[in-house]
Amino acid sequence: MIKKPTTLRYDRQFLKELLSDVRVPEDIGLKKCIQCGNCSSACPAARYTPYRPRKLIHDILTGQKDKILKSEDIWYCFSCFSCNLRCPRGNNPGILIHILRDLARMAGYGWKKVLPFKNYLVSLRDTGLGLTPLSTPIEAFEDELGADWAQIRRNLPEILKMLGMSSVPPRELPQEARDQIKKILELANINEEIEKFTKMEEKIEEN
Amino acid sequence: MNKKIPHNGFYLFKSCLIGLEYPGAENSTRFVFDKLGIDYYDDPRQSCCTGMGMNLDVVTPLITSVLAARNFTLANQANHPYFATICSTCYGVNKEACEWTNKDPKLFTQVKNILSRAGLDVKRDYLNAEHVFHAAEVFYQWKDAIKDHVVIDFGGIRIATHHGCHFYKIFPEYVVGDPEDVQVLDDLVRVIGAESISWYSEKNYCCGSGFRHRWISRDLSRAAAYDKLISVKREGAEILINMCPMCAFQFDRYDALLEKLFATKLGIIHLNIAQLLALSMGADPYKVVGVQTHSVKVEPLLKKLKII
Repeated sequence: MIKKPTTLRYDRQFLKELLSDVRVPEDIGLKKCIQCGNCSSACPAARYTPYRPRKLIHDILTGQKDKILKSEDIWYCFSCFSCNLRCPRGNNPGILIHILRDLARMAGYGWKKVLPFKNYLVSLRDTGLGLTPLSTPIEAFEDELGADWAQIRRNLPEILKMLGMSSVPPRELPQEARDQIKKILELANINEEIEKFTKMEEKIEEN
Repeated sequence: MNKKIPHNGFYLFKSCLIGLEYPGAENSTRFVFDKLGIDYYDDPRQSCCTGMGMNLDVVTPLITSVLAARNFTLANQANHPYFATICSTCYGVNKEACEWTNKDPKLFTQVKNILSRAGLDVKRDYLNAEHVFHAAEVFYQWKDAIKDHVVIDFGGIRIATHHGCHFYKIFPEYVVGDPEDVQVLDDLVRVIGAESISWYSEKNYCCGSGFRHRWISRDLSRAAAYDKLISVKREGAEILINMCPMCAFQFDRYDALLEKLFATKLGIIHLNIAQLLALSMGADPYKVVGVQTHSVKVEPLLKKLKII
């Protein structure tokens, strides 16, 4: 029996949205994809989850924007870029994933995935450093990482002193540098970004 | 590729996560640079590269670009234009910021205007992807000189390496040698007289951190870490050398948990390349190399090498 012809179509607007993002290299081989599957065979997420970079590229090229943005699959990527290393056509699903996640957020689907990491932005603005999200308080990770680790973290100021380093972990920038960084980040709209997180937290709490 | 790596003029690009978890790796980098007489600038004003935030999808390209431009401006104004990062993600992110601002004049103008309002004058040629190096590449460039400083005999110690995905998979074209079988760390392992495992089945596999997975999809993160480490274990490696604190955290901090979850014995010692080189050059394991912050105890190795 002959299968019905496919009705899937290329979505010019969606491709433009992806390819015009500054993070996408100008010579990306997205349209050159031959569906060989090298990306999926190298992908750690494909070993344990339903995510397949080959399938994602197929879905992008056949205009299935809504399906992609709603799907859990784009959140399984490890950001390891093995797909980029292995692709024989110069395509880079790993970078496209980050743009798709942003689009998913704009479409209202991806917020829950990023809300836990709001503190990263606050730390960046106020200290110039990106503290590991969720690793404080130490107690929250003691079960998983062990009592030894918790002890190391509590003793860190002492250890840093022994190493002859700044005793404020991970390190402390001079006040002038912190002020300059804060000013630069505010001009780059970091407060507006943080505000988006706060609004979304409130909205989710209300529901 | 046959890459041109300078010998001097480095801006030591410190990592937030190294400072928090493995400060000895940062300190060992200074120790090795000092020992070799490498000219570098250790700038307390340097900020985060935003790598963690980028991969957690919470920072915009503009935020990453303005901070990269600020760091590059500080480095260039101090006449130390070459970044020597100690984290594979810092390496990848700084290169990316250069590529973005170079190809998009509108983004560069926006960045330039923002920086000028904070009193900084960024020039277009400051943001040069070819000026971003990993400290491991600097060591590699100096490997003949390293040989002369080795005082500890690592003969017979079997060592595997993990280069960190963001060092060779984002920009394979910038990698010394074959990006599908990177030997930068392995060559350094051989230089100090240890036995390099060179290739193992999961050499190109991710550490499993996956950034968000570490915190949110923990089962996924641990499964990948186990696949990686068991393949290292099968080769009989005593040490796995890393050059990225995310990978180090994943391997070292989760060792006990992975042993329990998968009912297996791991116990591989995890060292940053700078820590390995510093130890081989006679650095104090506690005051310089900072082995006291490791979860898998390094002492059995130190005893075997007669360091303690």
